[in-house]
Amino acid sequence: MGYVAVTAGEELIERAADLFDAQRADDEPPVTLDQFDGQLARLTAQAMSEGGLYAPRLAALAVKQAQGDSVEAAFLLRAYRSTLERWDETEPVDPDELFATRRVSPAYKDVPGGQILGPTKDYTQRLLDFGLVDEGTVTDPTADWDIATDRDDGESGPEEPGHDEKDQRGRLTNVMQVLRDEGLVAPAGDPPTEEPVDTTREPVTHPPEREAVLQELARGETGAITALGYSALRGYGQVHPTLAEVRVGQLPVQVEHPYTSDQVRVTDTGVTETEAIVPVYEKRDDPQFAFGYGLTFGRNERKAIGMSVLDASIALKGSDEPAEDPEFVLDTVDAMDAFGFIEHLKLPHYVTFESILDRIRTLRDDDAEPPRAEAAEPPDATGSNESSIDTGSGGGPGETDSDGGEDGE
Amino acid sequence: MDPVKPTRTGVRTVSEPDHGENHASDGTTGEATDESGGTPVEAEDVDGALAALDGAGLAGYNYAYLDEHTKREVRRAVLKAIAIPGHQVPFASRPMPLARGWGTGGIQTTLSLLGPEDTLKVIDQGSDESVNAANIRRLAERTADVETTTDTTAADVIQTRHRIPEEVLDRDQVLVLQVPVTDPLRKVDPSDAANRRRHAHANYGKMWVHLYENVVEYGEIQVASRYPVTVAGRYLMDPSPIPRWDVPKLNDADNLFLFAAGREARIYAVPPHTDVEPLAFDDRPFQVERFDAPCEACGATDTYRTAVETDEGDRLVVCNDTSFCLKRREDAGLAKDHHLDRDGVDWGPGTPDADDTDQEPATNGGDRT
Amino acid sequence: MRALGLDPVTDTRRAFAGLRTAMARPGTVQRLPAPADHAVLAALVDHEVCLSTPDQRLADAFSREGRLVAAAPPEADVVHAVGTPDWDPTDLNRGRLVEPSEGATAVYRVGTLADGTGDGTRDANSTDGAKTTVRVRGPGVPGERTATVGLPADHLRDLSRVGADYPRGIDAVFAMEDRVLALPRSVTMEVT
Repeated sequence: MGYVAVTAGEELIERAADLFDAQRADDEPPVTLDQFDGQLARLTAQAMSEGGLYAPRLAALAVKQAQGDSVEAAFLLRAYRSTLERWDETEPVDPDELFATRRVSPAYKDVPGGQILGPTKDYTQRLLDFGLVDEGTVTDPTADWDIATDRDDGESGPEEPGHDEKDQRGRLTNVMQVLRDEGLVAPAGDPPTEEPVDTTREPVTHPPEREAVLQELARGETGAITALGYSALRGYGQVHPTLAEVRVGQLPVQVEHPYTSDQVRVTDTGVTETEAIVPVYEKRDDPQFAFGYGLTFGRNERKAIGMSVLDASIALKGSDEPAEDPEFVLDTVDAMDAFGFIEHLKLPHYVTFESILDRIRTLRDDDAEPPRAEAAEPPDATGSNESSIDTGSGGGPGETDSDGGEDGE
Repeated sequence: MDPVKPTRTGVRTVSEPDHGENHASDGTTGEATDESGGTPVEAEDVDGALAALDGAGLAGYNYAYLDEHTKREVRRAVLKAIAIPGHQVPFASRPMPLARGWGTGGIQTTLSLLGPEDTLKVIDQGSDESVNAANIRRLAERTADVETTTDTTAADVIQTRHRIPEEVLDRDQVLVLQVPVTDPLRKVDPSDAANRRRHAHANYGKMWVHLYENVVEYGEIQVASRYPVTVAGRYLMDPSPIPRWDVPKLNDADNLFLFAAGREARIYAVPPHTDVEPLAFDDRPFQVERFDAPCEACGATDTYRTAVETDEGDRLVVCNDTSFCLKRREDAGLAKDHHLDRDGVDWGPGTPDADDTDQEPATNGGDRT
Repeated sequence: MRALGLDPVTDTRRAFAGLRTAMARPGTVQRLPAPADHAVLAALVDHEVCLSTPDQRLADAFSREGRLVAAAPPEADVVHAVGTPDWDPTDLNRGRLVEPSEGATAVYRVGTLADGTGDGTRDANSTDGAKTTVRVRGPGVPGERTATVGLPADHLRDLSRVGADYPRGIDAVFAMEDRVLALPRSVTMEVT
C-alpha cells in the first residue's frame, strides 16, 4: 500500500483546541472570575507571581482558561503582559509601608507591634473538611466578630485596608532593622543610584547582579523555588536561616504624578514578604550575620521563604551546591523556560531520532558482521542516480553519543 | 475612579495593522508621540477607554505582532551576529504566545524580518504540515500579512525546525533555524559562563578531547545531530539539531543562515560564502547518515529519509522534505538546483558536495587497528 | 521617526533589510530609504544603545521620542559621522573578548560610495574629495570584492587595523543618499 503524507494544518489544531475546551463543558454553571478570585485566590496568586503581572482578575481569567494549570495561566499572563504598553515605572516603595494582615517573627517571642497571626491554618490539623462537600453558600466564620474590641489601639471601627493604615504602618517595627541597628546583620548595601537592570529587557549575564537574581526569583516557579530552597536546608548548602519576619499584606504602588510631580499612591498590591537571618558570618573580624530577602505577588509564603533562602545562598558565593550556584538557580527556576522546554519534548523529533538510529545501527551491524572489504551497492537498483550514497561499513562497538535529550525548538 | 484625560502618555491607542505602532515595551514616558501610529481614544475614564477598544483583537497589535522596540532589539542582534559569524549574540527575548522551547526565538527573528511583500515557508521536521509549523505560519500570516508557501524555491524567508531543505537556497533567501541549545560546548560543560570564556579564547580543547574519547571508546565519532562545526575558522558553533546530512549545506552557501533561540536568548548567524567545517579527525572523517531503502513515495536515494511504521507492521522509508518529495513524484530525476540557472551547485549529499571525500561514509576495509 | 521623514514601521524595516544584506555581503551596495544614514540609525537606535552623532537635528528627533542616550564616540554603541570624523576607528569601543558584540557600529555619511573601483560613481555633494578603494575578502565575500568609499585612506587603514583584533572590533556602515555598503569586522580590508 502506498505512502501518503499526512496534511494537517489549521483544522487539526482547531479541533484539538476544541477538544481541550470541551473538557470544561460539564453542564454546571461556569465558574465565575469572582469565584476564582475569592475562593481560589491562592491559585490566582501563584499565576500572578509566576507571570510577573499583578492583575487579580486577569489571573482569574487565565486560571479559568487554563483549567486550573497555574503555570499555563502564568504563561497566558506573561504573553499578555508583553503586549502591553509601558507607561511608567513606579517609585521605589519602602516595605515598611506594607499594611500587614499577617506578620510573624520566628526570631523573637514577641516583637513591637505584636505577632499578628492573621489568616492562617498553619497551626491547625490538616483534616479534610467534608462540610465543604455540600456547601450551600460560603459562610464567613468571622461575620459575628466584635471587631472594635479586638483592636488594641483603643480606637473603634472595623480594621479594613485603607482605614487607619498610617497608624499600623508605623507600628510594625522591622525586625531586621533592629538587628542591623545593633550591627548584628550585614547592611543591605547602598541604595542603587542607577535604574535597576530589568531582566525582562536585558538578558541575564553571569555572574548576575543581586537585583537580577531577586527579579528572577520573584518570578520563579513556586515548586522550583521551594525545591531548591529545601535542598539548601536539607544540607546541600550552608544556609539554614532564622526568619526575621514573614509579612502578608498590601503594598502601595506609587508613581510620580504626570502633572504635579507629587508621589501618589495609585493602588495596592497584595504581597508576601520575608527576611531571613543567616547565621553565617559575612566577615571574620566584626562578625555579622548574612541575610536573605523574599517578595512575591499574592499570598505565597513558601515561595517567599524559599526565595530568601536562595537569595542568601547565592550571595554567599560558595558554589559547590546547586542552591548556591546562581547560574544553576537562574537557569532552572523560570517556569516558562522550564515548562516550555520540558513540554517541547512532545514535539516531533523524528529527524534527529533517525540520525541517532543511524549511529546505533551502524555499530550493531558491524558487531554482527565482520567488516566488509568494499562498500556494498545500495540494496535497491531502481532508478538510483549517480549521487546515491553507499551503505558503507565502519566503526566498532559502542553506544551512540545521544543528543536526544537536547533536541527541540 | 477619577476621569482620566486622554493625553499622549495616558491612553492606550489602537494601532492599524499595517502601520500602527504601539510601543509596548519601552520604559520611558514620552514615547507615545511619534511612535504610536494609531488613533487616540477619547474617553471620560479608563473603563470607557477600554470598552472602546473591545473587539480590537489582533487589530490592536503592531505590524508583525512585535512592537518596534522588540524588532530593534532582534535586528541589532542579527546584525552583530552576521558581523561575527558563529558567535552567540545575547538579546532580550520576549515572551511570545508560543511556549519557550517551541520556536519563540525563530518567530521573533522571522517577524523582525518579514515585510508584506515577502513570502514565508515554515517547516518542522522537514514538513510544512506539522501542527507546530502550521501554528507559527498562521501567526505570521495574520500579523505580517504575508503570502505563505510550501514551495522552498518560492519563499523569501523560511523558518525551520531541524532541517535544511533539499532544494538549494539562493542568494535572496534567508533561512531561520530554531535552536534549542545554543552552545556546542554544553555537551562538555553545563556552565555558560565557563563556555563563554572558552569561546573568547578559542579554547576548544575540551570538545576535541570529548570527540577523541568517543573514537577511542566506540571507534568513530558518535555524534548524531547538533554536530559541532567551526565557522570562518574561529567560532565553534552548534548548527541546531539538523542531521549531519544537512551540515555541508552551511559551507559556502549563497544564502544567509540565522539561528535563533528564544529561551536561551541568543542569535547567531552564518553569512553566505563562509567556511563551515564539521569537526573531525584526519582518519575519522565526518559522516552523513545512511539509509536502507529509497523513498517509498518517489524513489529518491539522494535525500534525507525517515522511517514510518505502518499499521501493517511494515517500516517504510520516505523523504523527509515533504514538499520536495511531492515534486519528485511528478519528476523523479528533479535536480536539487532545478530552479537555478546554473547547475552543479554544492548543497550537501546528492550534489557535487558529495564527491568530497569527507562526505562519504568511512569505508572501513578492515583497517581499523 | 516621522520627524526625520521616516515611517517608524515600514521604513525601518526596509532599512534593516538593506543593512542586513549589506552586512551579509560586504562590499555590495544596497538600497535604503533616503537619507540612508538616518534610516540606519532609525532602525538601530533607541534608549537601549548609546549614540554619538554630530547631527543635532537627528539628536533632537531621537530625544523627543525619549530614544536618545548620548555618549562620546569612545563610549558609544552607535557612532555616527558626517564626512570624515575627527575620531579614529581605533578610539571606538571594540567590545570584550567574552562579548565582542558590544563593539560599536560606525555609521558614516560619505560623499562617494560604490562597489568596484568607483568609475562612474555617483558622487553626492561631498564635503571633501576623499575617495579610497579597498579590497575586501572574508565571510560573505566569494573571492574578493572592491569598494570605493569617500573617506581618507588613513582612516580606512585604521579601520583595518582594528579588524586585526577580531572577534573584538567595530562594524562599519557607509551611507550615501539611498545607498549603503557595509564592512563588518569579519572581513579583511586591503586599502589600495
